[in-house]
Amino acid sequence: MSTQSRGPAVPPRRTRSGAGAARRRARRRLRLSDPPRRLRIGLSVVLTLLVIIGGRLVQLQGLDGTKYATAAEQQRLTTVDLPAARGQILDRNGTPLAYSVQSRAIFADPAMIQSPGRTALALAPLLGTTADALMPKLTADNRFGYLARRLDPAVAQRVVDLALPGIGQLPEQRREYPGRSTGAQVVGFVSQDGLGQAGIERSFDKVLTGTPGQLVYEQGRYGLPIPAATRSMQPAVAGSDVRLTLDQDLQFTLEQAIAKANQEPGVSTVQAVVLDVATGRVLAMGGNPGYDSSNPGAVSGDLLGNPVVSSVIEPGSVNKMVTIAGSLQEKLTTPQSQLDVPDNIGVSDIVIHDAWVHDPIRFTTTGILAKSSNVGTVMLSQRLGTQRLEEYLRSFGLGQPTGIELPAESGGILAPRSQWSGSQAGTIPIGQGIAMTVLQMASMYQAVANDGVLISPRIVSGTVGADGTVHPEARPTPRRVIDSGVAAQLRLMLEAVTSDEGTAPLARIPGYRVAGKTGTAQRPNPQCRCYSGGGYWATFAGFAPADAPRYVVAVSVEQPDGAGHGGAIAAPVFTSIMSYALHENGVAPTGTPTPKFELIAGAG
Amino acid sequence: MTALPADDLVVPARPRRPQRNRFRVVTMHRPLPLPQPDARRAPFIGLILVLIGAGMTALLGLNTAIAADSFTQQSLQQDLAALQLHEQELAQQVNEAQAPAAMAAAARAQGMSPSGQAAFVVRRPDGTVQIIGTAVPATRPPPPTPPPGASPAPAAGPASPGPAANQPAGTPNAANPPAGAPGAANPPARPKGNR
Repeated sequence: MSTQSRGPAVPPRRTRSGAGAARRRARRRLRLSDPPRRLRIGLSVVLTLLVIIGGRLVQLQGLDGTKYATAAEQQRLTTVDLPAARGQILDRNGTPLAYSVQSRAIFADPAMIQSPGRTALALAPLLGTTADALMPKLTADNRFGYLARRLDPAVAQRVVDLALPGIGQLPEQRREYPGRSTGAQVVGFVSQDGLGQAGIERSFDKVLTGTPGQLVYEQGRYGLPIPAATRSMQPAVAGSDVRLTLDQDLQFTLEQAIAKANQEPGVSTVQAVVLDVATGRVLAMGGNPGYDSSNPGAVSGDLLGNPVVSSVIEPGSVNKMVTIAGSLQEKLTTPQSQLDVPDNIGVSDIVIHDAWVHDPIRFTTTGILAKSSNVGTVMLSQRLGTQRLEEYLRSFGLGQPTGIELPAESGGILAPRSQWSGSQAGTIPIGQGIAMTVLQMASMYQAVANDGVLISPRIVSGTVGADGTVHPEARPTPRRVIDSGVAAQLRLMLEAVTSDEGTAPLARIPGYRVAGKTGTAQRPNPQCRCYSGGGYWATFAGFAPADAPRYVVAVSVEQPDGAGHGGAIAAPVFTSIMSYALHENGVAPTGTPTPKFELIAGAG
Repeated sequence: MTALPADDLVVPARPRRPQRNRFRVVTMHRPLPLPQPDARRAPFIGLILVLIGAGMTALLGLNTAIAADSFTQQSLQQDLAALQLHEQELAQQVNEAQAPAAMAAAARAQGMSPSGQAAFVVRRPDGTVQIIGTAVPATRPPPPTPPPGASPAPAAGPASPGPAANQPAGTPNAANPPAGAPGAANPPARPKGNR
């Protein structure tokens, strides 16, 4: 240390004095510059190089460092998307109505394909198509095209085993609907890309779709993960399962029954729905014709909805129940009250007739309902008045959607009273000039069956998260519509409908007491926007057992070219669905005797 | 060097060139430690070499094991994926077979038919038993065109009173509550007197 501090002053002098002569001689010989200059030049060269190298170092490491580090990592890093499994749709017993399976898409990179012709010939049998159909995709002027989608992994593996250049596979999910058309209108279907398009698949799309995950790892030369290298995984979170209140077996039976009814001459569509009386839950619903969830493209687009919640019908006499319920509730009549009912009655600018020509009959109120007298019902509704009639119609849930968890629900058509035409005051009580969905129709009768408490129909009982936690759906608040005593009276009166003298003896199920109401409404003719030539809607809504109701079934049969009335054409559909529901669920008949009904004063 | 006391060293005040090769004994209070003889250094070097060697070998072994595990993991993952696909395939078959439409078709193929109307045996709280309803045997469906190989089951009808004969009458049984079992044993006869 001490010598160094002294050094600079002394040694140069010595060098110059001591070795000066020899250096000079050497310079003369080799023509080299003088040492200090050489040193200075050398130093500056070295320093320049150092600055360049250092600067480059700073540039690479400091300024662009991140970029190059990323690029280097990217060469090794492989990112694999982990698709989240779409949740299942289950029926009330946990039977899957819709679930997802792994499948593969086969794609082509035309730029990589050397001999499209041979490739097409090799692929055609495996992909179930012809070589000619594949050729355009194999010779297209792009770098990517799907050749087949949603293939079974085993089939895709055979394609991959062919090791054709430019042909590869991609994993994807396929939606399976084991029930095919059973419950299809409720379950719905998904698009090519797995997005819900209809039914529960659509309304619960967000719940069913999970959160995709990602696996990132460093890959070695042969595609294997480098051991102990960077590896991060964000696991995919599978979508939640949606559990419905639907019973798949009952649903199948319902669809069989409506399909059979749709074979009757003059019938175009049939719809039906089953509700659980105590909870308002939908146990089955469907319309015919329907579609197959796994192949929705096979039918025309207007069949891809759920008519039970989306299309409205004029209910016809089924609606008379509301008029009578209001009259009973307001104590304007009793089941035994008698009324002289003529053959027809004028309301505003129209005359309303009974379905059959008769002299004035002294009906009981029960008789008016059981025989479905239009005139008698209009007379009662005149006592009730349009304001209270509208209130009752709305409190029975008409004119607004029920809030069921299905897309595109219609609330029916019920104009505010201020907009009613004069004649509507006469037709609405008997179910014309008002429209409702079959679901709303069933919901009205659920209220009567459930001692006057209406519970809006629901079809989803809950969702089950990927971790198994159950989230029950919020239950609708039960709402009292009529008094319990009035509901009991009404149930008896509705039972008279299925008596031998009523309009629907065909709705009876041997051993059980059955209550319900028929309806036969004129169907507007779409050509003339009038009723003539439009045909009819035959409807039936009812419940059983009448004295301890368990299930409500509503049926609507659309007949553009038929004239079968509700008791003849809709009631048998009701019977086959209801008897299955009762038998399958072990509902024993109550065994109580059916009372004798007095429909016409003095006659019963 | 600087740590040594200055007076212990006899340092020439002005070293001159001719004196450069002359060495003088430097005395100290304590003798300087003698350098270790070579014979005692050898085991230490050996030890270091052994440690290095062992470390290298262990590292090599570890790396090999990790690499081998990586291959094993890869192959196990492939097995797992294959098994998952197989399981998925089997589950699909089960789901398709248990769908109501498939079940109904399979039942029809075996000569079965939907159950008829059932009768119920209701036990009242007071102990009396009432039979409600009339059990009706299911109607035999038109003989299905038997698929090849499935002939024994439908053909059993007239020959053996076993499955085929019991099936239509017995099926209402399935829908009954437990109390309904005795009633369904001979459904056509008993309810007659009751209703």
